[in-house]
Amino acid sequence: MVMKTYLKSLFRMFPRHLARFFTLVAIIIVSVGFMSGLGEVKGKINYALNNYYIEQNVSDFIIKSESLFGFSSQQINILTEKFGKENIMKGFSYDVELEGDTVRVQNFDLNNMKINKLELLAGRLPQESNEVVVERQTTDIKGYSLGDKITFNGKEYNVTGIVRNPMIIHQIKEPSFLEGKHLDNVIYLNNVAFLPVNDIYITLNDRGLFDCFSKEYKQVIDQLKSELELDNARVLTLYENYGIFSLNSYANKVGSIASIFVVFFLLVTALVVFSTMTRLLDEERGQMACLKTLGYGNFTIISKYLFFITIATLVGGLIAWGVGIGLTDILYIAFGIQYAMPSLPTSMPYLFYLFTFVIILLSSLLVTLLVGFKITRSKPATLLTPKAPPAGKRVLMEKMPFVWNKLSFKYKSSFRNVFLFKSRFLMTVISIIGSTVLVLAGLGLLDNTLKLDMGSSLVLLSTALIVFAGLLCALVIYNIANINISERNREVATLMVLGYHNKEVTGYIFREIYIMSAIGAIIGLPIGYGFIEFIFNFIEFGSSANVNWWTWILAPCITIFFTFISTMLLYRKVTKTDMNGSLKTVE
Amino acid sequence: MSYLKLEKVSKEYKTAAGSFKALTDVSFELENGEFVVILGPSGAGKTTLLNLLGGMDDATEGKIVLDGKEVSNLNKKQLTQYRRNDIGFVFQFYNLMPNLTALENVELATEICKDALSPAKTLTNVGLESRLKNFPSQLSGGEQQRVSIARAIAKNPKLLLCDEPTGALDYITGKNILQLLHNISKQNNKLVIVVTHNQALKEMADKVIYIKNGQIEKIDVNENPKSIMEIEW
Repeated sequence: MVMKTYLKSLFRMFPRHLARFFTLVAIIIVSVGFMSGLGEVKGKINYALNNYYIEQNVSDFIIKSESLFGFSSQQINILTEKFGKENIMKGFSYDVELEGDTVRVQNFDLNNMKINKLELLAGRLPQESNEVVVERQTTDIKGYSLGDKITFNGKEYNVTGIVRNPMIIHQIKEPSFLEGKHLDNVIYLNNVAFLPVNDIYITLNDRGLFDCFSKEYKQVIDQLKSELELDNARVLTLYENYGIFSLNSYANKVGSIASIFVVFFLLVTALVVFSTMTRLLDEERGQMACLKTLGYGNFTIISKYLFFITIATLVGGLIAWGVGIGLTDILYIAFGIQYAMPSLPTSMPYLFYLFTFVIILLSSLLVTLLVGFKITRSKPATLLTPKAPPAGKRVLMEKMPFVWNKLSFKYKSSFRNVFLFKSRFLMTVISIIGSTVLVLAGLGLLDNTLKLDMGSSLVLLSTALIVFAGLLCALVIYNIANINISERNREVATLMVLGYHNKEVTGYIFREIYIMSAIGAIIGLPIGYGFIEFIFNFIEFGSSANVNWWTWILAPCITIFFTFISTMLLYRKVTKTDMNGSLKTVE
Repeated sequence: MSYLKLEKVSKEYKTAAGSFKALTDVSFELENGEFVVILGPSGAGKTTLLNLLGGMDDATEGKIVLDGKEVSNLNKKQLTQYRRNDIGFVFQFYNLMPNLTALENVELATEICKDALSPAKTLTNVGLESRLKNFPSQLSGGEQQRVSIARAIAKNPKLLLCDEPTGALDYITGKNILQLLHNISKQNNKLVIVVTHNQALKEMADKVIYIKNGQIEKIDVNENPKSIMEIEW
């Protein structure tokens, strides 16, 4: 069946509902962008970490001899036999106090490293016996310059190169073997023959097993560790490597936070799509009735709106792809402040993005279907008459004369409206609660991060939380206020005819939004407290005791501020209402 | 000097398709206490004229003076003030606030103007003493229109403008509403202007202004207007 004219009316929907289209696009950008941007961080870091593990051939075990003479050749032979010659590397390490600094001295065959390959960042590897390379400068490792001379054990060494040890990916406070100290410098000697072997680095054959500390990997490691009972020796695994393990656990924490927010963002997005599509379909009642009388089927009529929301979701989703990648990259780079992050991986599957996008698309379609069927199921005759505004009703508050009688007239009317439009009330309040909670979580995380002097990546994460929560709040409010204005166009016009000034008219419309916003912000506080406790517990970091008292005041203020901004953007739309058009037509 | 005076009033609308003259050189004079009907086919410019009188729009040319005050040179803010204190409006679709009771709908108007009448008394005067606390959805069309009239007159305006006030009402109710408007004009000594396309109403008016193509066709003066109850249509 060719429906050329029907298609024409479909395409003409877009210019007619441009503002609504952009609202939908914007909410999808914000929600999909934020969810995927945050959700993809874990995947990206783990992807990079896996690559790093394989590229640098990171050791799975370090066996440290506690004997002064190191491992006996017999012990070395046993291990070589067990793991294979290729999977074993001998080394020496010792932490000493050197001019007040804690310095680790290590000895490797630097020119033939196959495990834990040092990355040469500058200079060259040593060739002479009086040449050394040193660890790069980090927040706490002081580092040396090329050409520096280090006197050590009565001998002078020249620094010829600067390297990065894959075992030291943390940028701060790399722990020393000396009790309570952290490393100030690391010096790598080249193949000094007289030094004993007190470190043995072992890699497993199956590099794929690691998979960012997978369960299988843990099992294998635990199993092997229990088999490695050697006299006078300690076995260290990657679980004991501060940098690698904490990077992985941070990535997991970000992942956990992301998955919690998915639920909230999904809920708010569905509510926004619901209210926007309801209003859109209400406005097109007449058109739908007309199509029905012409004999078009319900699904054909609704499919137009399904197409509309699909296009909006696709456009929003496409932009959200960019926003998400940008957010992920920013957070990834932020992790670089704390960790020696491998350069940003460029190619990887964007699973989380696809996941959130598909969920948002499906829920939007579902919501539109529901709204559509609810309307098309009415008889054409009913659809041809305008939708009656909800009848005025007294609200519960009026039964409390000591409160009600004290309210000024304007507030009475606003309170009635607030409680009369229940779905809108719920949507606004839920969004505002959510935004307040997110802003609180963001600020609370920030307070903790700053107090505990923790990762800058968390600072960025909390900033992103606050910004996206604010954006979401502004969008929801803008959308609701917009619907409010178009639905109550007649009331606005009536007030104008009665001689209400611009500020009084906008006040009449926006007052209820401020009331809902305030209710949401107030309810958001206790929920936010619970949420913060839950989050801190969940990511095993921070506590609500570290949250500044003024954060509890600031968070609701931020959401109310965003509410104010979005209503101000609509101020002109209210004052531009055409008195005649609105008052003299039926709808 | 007459109570309401229009002098060569014109209104031109500029649209993308070009300019369009809705009113051309409209002049007339009306006195306080008169009941005036403006008649004309749709598109003749009745509504435009009402908008200019009611301060909902400003004239492109000409002068409108109400009770010695020049309306045609007011700015936007002053026009709002003018609507607030000097004008009462009654529309075809009552335009009541659905979430306010009858009483509150009247209060909505009175609480912002200077010499307002008592809302409850005004509602009683239009026969709604038992409906004060009802919401619009609980009232019949005629009752809603009465609330809207009460809202307009409780402001104690200088001019009461009614745009097809019976357009959405049945015959009997419509007649009652017109009777009410007529009473207001005579008992309260108010200038009431009713815009309609119902030819039958010309018999009840003190003056009938005929409008066609944006111009005054003629103005009839009825020396002996009939009571609405004698008119049939």
